[in-house]
Amino acid sequence: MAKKSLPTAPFLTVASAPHLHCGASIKGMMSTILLALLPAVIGAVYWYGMDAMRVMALSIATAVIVEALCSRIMEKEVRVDDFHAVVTGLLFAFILPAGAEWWLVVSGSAATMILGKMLWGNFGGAPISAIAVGWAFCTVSWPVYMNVDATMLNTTLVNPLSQLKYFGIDSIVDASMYNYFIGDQLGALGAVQVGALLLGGLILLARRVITWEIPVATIAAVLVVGGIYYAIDPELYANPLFHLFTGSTMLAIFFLLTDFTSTPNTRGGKIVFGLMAGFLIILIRTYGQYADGVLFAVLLANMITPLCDMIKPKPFGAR
Amino acid sequence: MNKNIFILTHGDTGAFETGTVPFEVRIPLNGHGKKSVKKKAEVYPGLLVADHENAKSGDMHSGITGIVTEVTDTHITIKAQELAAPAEGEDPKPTGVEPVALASLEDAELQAALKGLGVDVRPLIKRCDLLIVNALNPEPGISYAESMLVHAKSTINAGLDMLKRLSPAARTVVALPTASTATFDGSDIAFINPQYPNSLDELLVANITGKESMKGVNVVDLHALYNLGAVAESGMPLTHTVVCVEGKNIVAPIGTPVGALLKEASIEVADGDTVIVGGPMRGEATGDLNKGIGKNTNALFVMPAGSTEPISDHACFSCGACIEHCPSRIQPNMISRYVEFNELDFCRQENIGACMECGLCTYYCPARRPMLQFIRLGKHKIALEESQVTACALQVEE
Ligand code: SF4
Ligand code: SF4
Repeated sequence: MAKKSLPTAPFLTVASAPHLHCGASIKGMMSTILLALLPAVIGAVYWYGMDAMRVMALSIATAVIVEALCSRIMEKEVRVDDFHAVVTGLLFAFILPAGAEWWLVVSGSAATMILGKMLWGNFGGAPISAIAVGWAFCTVSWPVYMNVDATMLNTTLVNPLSQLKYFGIDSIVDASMYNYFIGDQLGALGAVQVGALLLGGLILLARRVITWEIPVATIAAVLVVGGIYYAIDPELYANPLFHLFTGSTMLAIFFLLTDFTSTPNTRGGKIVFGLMAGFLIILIRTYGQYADGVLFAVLLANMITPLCDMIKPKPFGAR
Repeated sequence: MNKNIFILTHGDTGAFETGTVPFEVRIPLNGHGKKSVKKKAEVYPGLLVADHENAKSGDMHSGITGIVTEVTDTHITIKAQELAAPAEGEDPKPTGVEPVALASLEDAELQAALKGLGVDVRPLIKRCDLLIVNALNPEPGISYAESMLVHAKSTINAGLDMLKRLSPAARTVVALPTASTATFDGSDIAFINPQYPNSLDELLVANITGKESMKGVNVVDLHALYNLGAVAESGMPLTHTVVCVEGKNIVAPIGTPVGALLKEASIEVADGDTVIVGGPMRGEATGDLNKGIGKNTNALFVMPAGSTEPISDHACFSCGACIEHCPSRIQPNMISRYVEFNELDFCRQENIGACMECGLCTYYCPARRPMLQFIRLGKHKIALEESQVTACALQVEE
C-alpha cells in the first residue's frame, strides 16, 4: 500500500480551533488576586499584629479543607489547587474583627465555602458573593462577636463609623483622611487597610483581572450620592470621602463587587451595577441599622445582577 | 496580555519558494463523482484526474508525473516517478497539456473553461454590487499576502482582471493593510488596520461599507485570487497553490502530503504535537500527516505538545473576558452553556448566528472552555433542526 511510503507518522494530538491561547488561567488570576491582597495583609499585621495573622490563617485553612471535603462528598474533581479557596478564605478573614473567636472564624469560613460556593456546584455557579453570604451568616448568628467595637476593647484605634453613628458628625470632624488611608482606624482587620486595598485594586486593573467599570461606577456613586447628602447638610452628614475611606468600602469596590460569578458581565450592566452598589452603600450607612452597611450593599447589588446582565449591546449585524 | 501576536503584517515580501516534487501526492476530492483515471494509470502535470458534476466546482488535475496508486471517494494517490520510455515504433507519450485560450471566451463558455481548469467558479460569480478583494493575511502567523502583492503582482493582476470579467459587481475595492503601497488599476483601495480579527470578511465589509451586512457584497480572498490568476495567466489547469508553512511560503502541488511540506520547511513533528491545516485560529487539526493539501489550504502550523493548556470541562465562572473581546458583541459564555444543555431556542435568542467564528472567545477564556466548538455545534444543530422543519413543511404541502 502507498501508506508505507511515509515513515510511520508520529501520534498527533487533535484539538479544536483556535489552537492558540492567551495563557490566562483561573490559577493565574487567583494568584494575581492574592498578590493584590498582599499589601492589605501586611497592613493588617502591622495594625493588629499576630491576632490578624491567626484569623487569616485559620480562615484560609478552613476554606481549603472545607472545599476539598465538599468536592469529595459531591464526587467532584478536587480543584483547590486553583487557589480560589485561598482567596475566598482570605477575603472572608478580611471582614472579621482581628479579635474574632476561633470558632467564629471556622464556622464563618466554612459557611462561606458551603453556602457561597459548593452549594452552587463549584466555582462559577454562585449568584451572590460568597463573602457577603458568610458575613450575613455570622452577623445574624453572632452579632456581638462580629462587632468590632465589642471584640477589640484592648486597642487604641477608634471606629469612625460607630463614632458617626452613635456620637454624631462632631465626633469625626477632626478625623484625618490620611490616617484612614493608611489604616489608622478600627474596623474589620483587612477591610480598613484602605490605601493597601487601593494599591491592590490598581494591580488587578493593571493585570486586567478586573475591568474599570465596576470600581469607577461605584466610586462615582459613593461620591455623588454622599456629596448630595453632604451638600444638603454638612452638619448632619459626613463628607463623601469619609465614606470611601472608612469601613469595607474599598474592599468591596475592588474585591467583592468585582467578584466574577455574582456580578454582571456586559459593560453597561457593570456600570449600572456599580452605580447601584455605591448608592446602596451611602443609603444603608445613612439610614440603616448597621454602621458599616457595605456588605449588605454587596448582597443587595448581587440581587440585581441578572437584571443588569440584560443590558447588552446589539449583536453584530442586527438592526 | 500579548496583543502583538494578532498583528497581520509581517513585513515579509520575499519570493515564494518552490517546493521539491513530493514522492507522492494525495489529491483530495470533494464530491468529485467521475474519476478520469484508474489505478496504475500514467499521469503527467495538468492531466485531468477527476471532474465534478457541478458545473461551478473545479475539476482536479495531477500536478506531477507519476502512476496512480489508489483511487477512493476521498482522494486519488499518485506516486511520483518517471514514465517508462515509449516502446519502439510507438508515438512519444504526452508530457503536458495545451493551454486554453481564455481571452476569447465569454460568460458561460468562460465559466465552463475555468471549471475545467480546476477553478471553483461559484464564489466568484456571486451576484453583488460591490466586490471586495481581501488582501490581508487571514490569520495571525500566516504571511503570504504581502509577498503575493509584491512578487506575484502579475498573477494577482491577471486574477483581478479575470475576476472582474466574471463578477457582476459594478465596483471593486481591494482591501489592503494600512501602509501598503500596492496599486491596482480600475479598483478602489481601502486600508484596513492589519490586526486580527479585522481580516474576517464580515468586519472587512463593515469597515469598508460602514454597514454590518453582507448584502450585495462579495468578498474574494487573495489566496483564491492568486489561484484564479495562475490559471488566467497561463491558461493551464490549477495544479499548484501557495501554502504558508509556519511563515515559510511554499508553492506546492495540490495533494502534497502535509508531512512532506513540513519536512520541506524543516519542521520536525513529534508525538503529541498538533498539526493544523489552515490558520491557528480557525484551522483544523489533522491526525494524519499523509493528508494532501487542497486548493484552498493556505497554511500549515505545528503546535508542539504542551505549548498550551488543554481544553477543560470547567464551568464558566463569568469572568466576562469572552464578552469583552467578541467582535460580534454577543455573549459566547451564555451561548456555549445553552449549547451544552441543548437549549437551541435560547441560542437563537442570544444571536448565535451573529458569531463570525473568529475564535477570540476561546483564545481568552481562562477556564479553557471550548466555546468555538460549542458554537459551531450549536449552529450545526440549529441548521439540522431547520432543515427538518422545512422537510416536514414540504410533506404537509404535498
Ligand atoms: S468566535 Fe467567539 S469571539 Fe468570535 S465572534 Fe464567535 S462568539 Fe464572538
Ligand atoms: S471567558 Fe470563559 S470563564 Fe470567562 S465568561 Fe467567558 S466562558 Fe466564562
